[in-house]
Amino acid sequence: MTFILTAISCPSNAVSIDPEGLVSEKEKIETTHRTRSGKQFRYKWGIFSRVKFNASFISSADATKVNSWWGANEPVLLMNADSTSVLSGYLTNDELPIGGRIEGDSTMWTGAIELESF
Amino acid sequence: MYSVSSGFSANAAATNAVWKRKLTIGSSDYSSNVIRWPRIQRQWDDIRPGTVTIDLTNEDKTFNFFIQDKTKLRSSCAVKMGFEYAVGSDEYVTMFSGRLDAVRFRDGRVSLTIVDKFKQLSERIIGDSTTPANYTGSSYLVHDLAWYFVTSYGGYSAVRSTSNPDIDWASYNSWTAAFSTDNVRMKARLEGQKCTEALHRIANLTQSAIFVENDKLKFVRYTLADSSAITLDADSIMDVDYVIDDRELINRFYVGADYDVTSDYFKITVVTADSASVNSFGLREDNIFEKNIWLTDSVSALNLSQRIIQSSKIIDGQYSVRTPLNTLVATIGDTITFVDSALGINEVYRMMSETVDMESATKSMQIDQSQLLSSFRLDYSALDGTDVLS
Repeated sequence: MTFILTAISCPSNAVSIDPEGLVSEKEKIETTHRTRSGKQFRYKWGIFSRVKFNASFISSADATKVNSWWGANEPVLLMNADSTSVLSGYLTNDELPIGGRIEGDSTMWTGAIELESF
Repeated sequence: MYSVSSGFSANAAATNAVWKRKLTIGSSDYSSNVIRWPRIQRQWDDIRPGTVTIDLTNEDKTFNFFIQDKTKLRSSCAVKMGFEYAVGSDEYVTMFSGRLDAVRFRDGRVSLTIVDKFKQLSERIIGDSTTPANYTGSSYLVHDLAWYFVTSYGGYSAVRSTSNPDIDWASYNSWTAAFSTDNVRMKARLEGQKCTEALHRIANLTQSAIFVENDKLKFVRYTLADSSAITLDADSIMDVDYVIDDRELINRFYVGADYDVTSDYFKITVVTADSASVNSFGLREDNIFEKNIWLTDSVSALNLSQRIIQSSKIIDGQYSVRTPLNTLVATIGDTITFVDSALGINEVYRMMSETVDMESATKSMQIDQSQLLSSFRLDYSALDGTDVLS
């Protein structure tokens, strides 16, 4: 299934990606306390979403776009092929997202995308 | 107790309360930029400017407006906690408010330091050495002196109603009633002391609590009348420390009154002692001989010395209790029923200080009985009889 990743500031500047092993998760920000009697207090402050997947066979042009969004902390939007929004946020990879060469193909790149909601 | 709705109290008590934290600068909400929420500390008798520092993200250059317009430092700020009941329906308690004291930019972050209402009072003086502010022509009621210091010298509002934006009128009004009834009188001669210093001396001489709450100066003199606001038991307590500090003990106390400025001496010295305490612990003396603000008569001086001996003649331990935020609505001065089976305690105490850690969602409070059983009384028994007029 093809997904579309695009900079929110320039939706026409999109990249088509076929995710491999897409993981979608949500994380709660909360504080928990146990009192002396064992009673639990659990305060939820917020929640955020995260999507991770591997991506292969990305063209040089598309790899450059994705990597520049990552470098500039550009707000991005991940959509299904039918333009349904999956997640909007920042690319949160620790290292360059699309930074690997595909063996035997000098024009295509591979890497991983990590996207977290605002 | 903070003035909140029953809905707020019910929400706060819930084990799964969905608290909201809010930072406002002027009328704008910057809560989403906060990286770390502050710890907010208040004490019943600490008349000094209080500050909090909040770390925020500035990757999006949100706070660069401080660089362009330094007058924004005059903006009022507030840190609040509360609940959103529905869209457009919320309720917050102001945990700390004031004006910006400093803005520090570092990399993509900014730290805001906010200072409370005591700052302005710590920046203004009363009289000077060549032209002292003399309040010696007649004897003044305690609250009248405090009012002059805060309004005439401190520059805060002199509106005598609940619309006063700087003084908690309800608490001030109750405070005045106590001194009017007891006719506690003072004189003063100030030669450049800061307003906070003058207030501190009044607080010392009257055993009053003066602190900032909800961005207003609050004046309180504790009595026996208030009922227990909350109960702290094993369901609420996370940690307890109990300190018995021998240094707190006083069993003979001297108060100087009716100071003669010209001759530099006190015409009245009142002494109160507790012989049982002296026999048990040995003599522990202390005194107040205050030459800038002083009590004018022996009844007021005796009253103070008796009150101090009453609260200090035994070593009165202090409990430090840490709880989740279910106790947030209780505040300084509230009486609290404290139950601890490990220490064998089930008694009523008064909250003397509180620290709310907005980041870890805990509240720590110091509770003791030093201001619990010492209501301000005109005790004539030492003068002319055994009657006690409260």
